[in-house]
This record gives sequence, structure tokens and C-alpha cells, in this order.
Amino acid sequence: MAFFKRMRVKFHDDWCEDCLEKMQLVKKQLFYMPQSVGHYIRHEDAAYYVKNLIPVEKKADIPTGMYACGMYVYRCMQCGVRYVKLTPFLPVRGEEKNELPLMFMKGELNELLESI
Amino acid sequence: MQVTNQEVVLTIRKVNPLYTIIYFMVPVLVFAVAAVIGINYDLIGTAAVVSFFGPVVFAVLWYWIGNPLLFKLRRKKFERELDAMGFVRSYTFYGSSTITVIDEQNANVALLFRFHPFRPYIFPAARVKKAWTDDGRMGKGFMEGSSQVSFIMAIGRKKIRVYTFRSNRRFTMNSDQILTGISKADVVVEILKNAHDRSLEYGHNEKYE
Ligand SMILES: [Zn+2]
Repeated sequence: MAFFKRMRVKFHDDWCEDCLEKMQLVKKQLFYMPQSVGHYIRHEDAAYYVKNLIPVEKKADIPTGMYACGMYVYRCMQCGVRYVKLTPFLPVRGEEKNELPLMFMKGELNELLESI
Repeated sequence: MQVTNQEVVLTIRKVNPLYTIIYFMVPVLVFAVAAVIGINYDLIGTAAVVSFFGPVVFAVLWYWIGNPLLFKLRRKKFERELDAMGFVRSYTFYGSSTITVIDEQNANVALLFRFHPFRPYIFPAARVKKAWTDDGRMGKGFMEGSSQVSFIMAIGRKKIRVYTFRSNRRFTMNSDQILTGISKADVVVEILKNAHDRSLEYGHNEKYE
């Protein structure tokens, strides 16, 4: 069974890699990201997000042509580890142009988490 | 910087016919001259090859490099001129045949057209009576899609269309390409609307429709 669990972990962001268990979504937050349409640059370093993301309440708070970034915080109920998934996207009239998501699994975004 | 309305009593023309005719005719003339020379002098060997391929190479350089290069040089000069007259270039959209520059602070708009490159237009944003996005939506159901997105400015009786996305194939309305095109167009439309309103505050009296 462990083999199948390992496979499942590979295909799901919200499974703990150590315990091979589904994690729980403990927090969701939307941010404004200071990048504009046509000029998106993917940043891999957590520092960029800690420095630039500004929490907002809803998608309508994002100005036309600017990027938003979703944040999903998962917690493993067994070992307590926290994974953070970021989903940058461009909101366009209720639709979303999605960029590739990013995963931070070693607490790189703790500073940002504490600020919201 | 204050721009007078006088400048824009003239209708905006996207195309200068003389420039366009010269642009399209020059390679044709070169072909004709080469053909005449080739026939009259009964060229053979290398000379014949040159008289045939020379004009072809020239036409390719002229259309694909010459015109874009000229437009680019004109654009740079245009931007320098705007800077010199105190036009604050706070937003620029580089379309393939139209450059749209907006000074949000002083509420002015400047346009430069690819086929009218020696005639920049600069006018108060109030002159843009209305601006909107055209998402190019076509078809119904699963056939629904678009191959072009643009923003349109109504200036006097003229409508100036500037493409933010164009393709020879169709994309679904929620594809990345179409969404990006719509977003870019919406940004310009919003800036034009704000500039228009500010322009009115500065005493230019045309209503946004
Ligand atoms: Zn765990």
C-alpha cells in the first residue's frame, strides 16, 4: 500500500511527504502581487513573496492588468509540518490566467504567514 | 504641458496615401528597372542571376527590415519630441501599427501610425470620446472563440483600433492568449477613461459617452 501512497503524494500537493497522509487546508489568503500583464516574471525565492505580497480581501481589489497570488496553507495532522502553495494568476474579468504554482515546504514563508 | 485643441481640429489619418504608395511601389519599380536592364542588355551568367535575385533580396529587406526599422527610428524620435515638450510618458502601448502614449498627469494622448510615420498626433484626452475593448468573440457553443483582441478609441468621427492580440488561428475565450489580450486592452481603456475625466477638469469640454 505504501507504494500507492507514495504515488499519490507525487500527484498531490496536499499530501505529507513523510507521513504519506492527506494534509488539512488550514488557511487561505489572496494577495496583490506587483506584476503587470505581459511582464510576468516567475520568482522561485521565497524572499520575493515575503517582500512583495500584499493581502487583499477579494479579487475585485486587484487593479486591472495586475497580478494576484493565492496562498494555501496545509498542515499535516500527524507530524505538524506545514506546506505553503502559492498560485500566481492574472485576474481578467472574473476569469483567471494561471501561472505555474509554487510549493514551499520548509517554512520559507513563515514571516509572511505571521504578518497576515 | 498644455496642448491646444487646435491641433486636433484636423481629422486623424492613420494612413498617409503618398507614403504608403511609395512604400509598396519602390520594390516594384526596382523589379521593373532590373527587368528592363536584363532584357535590353541581354544579360547572361552572373549578371542575369543578379538582375533577377537582386530585386528579390531588395524587396525582402525593404518590407521586412526597412519599414519596421524606419518605424522604430520614428518612434524613438517621437518619444524624444514628447519628452522635450514636457509630455509625461506615463503609459505607452506599442501596437504593431499604432503607438499609443498617454500622459495621465496632464491628460494628453499621443499617437503615431506605422503608415503615417512622419505625422504624430498629440491632443487632450478629452478628445477620446469613448474607448472600449473588443474581445473579437465569434461563434457559438464549443465553436466560440477569438483570434484577435483590440481596444478602440473614438476620436471625433474616427475610430482607431489597436490590436493587443492577433493570430491566424482561433483560441477559446478563456485561453491565456485571449485573456492576456483582454487584460492589456482593459488597462489602456481604463487609463484613457481616467485621462479623459481629468482632461475635462482641465477645461476641455467633451463628454465621455
Ligand atoms: Zn506528516
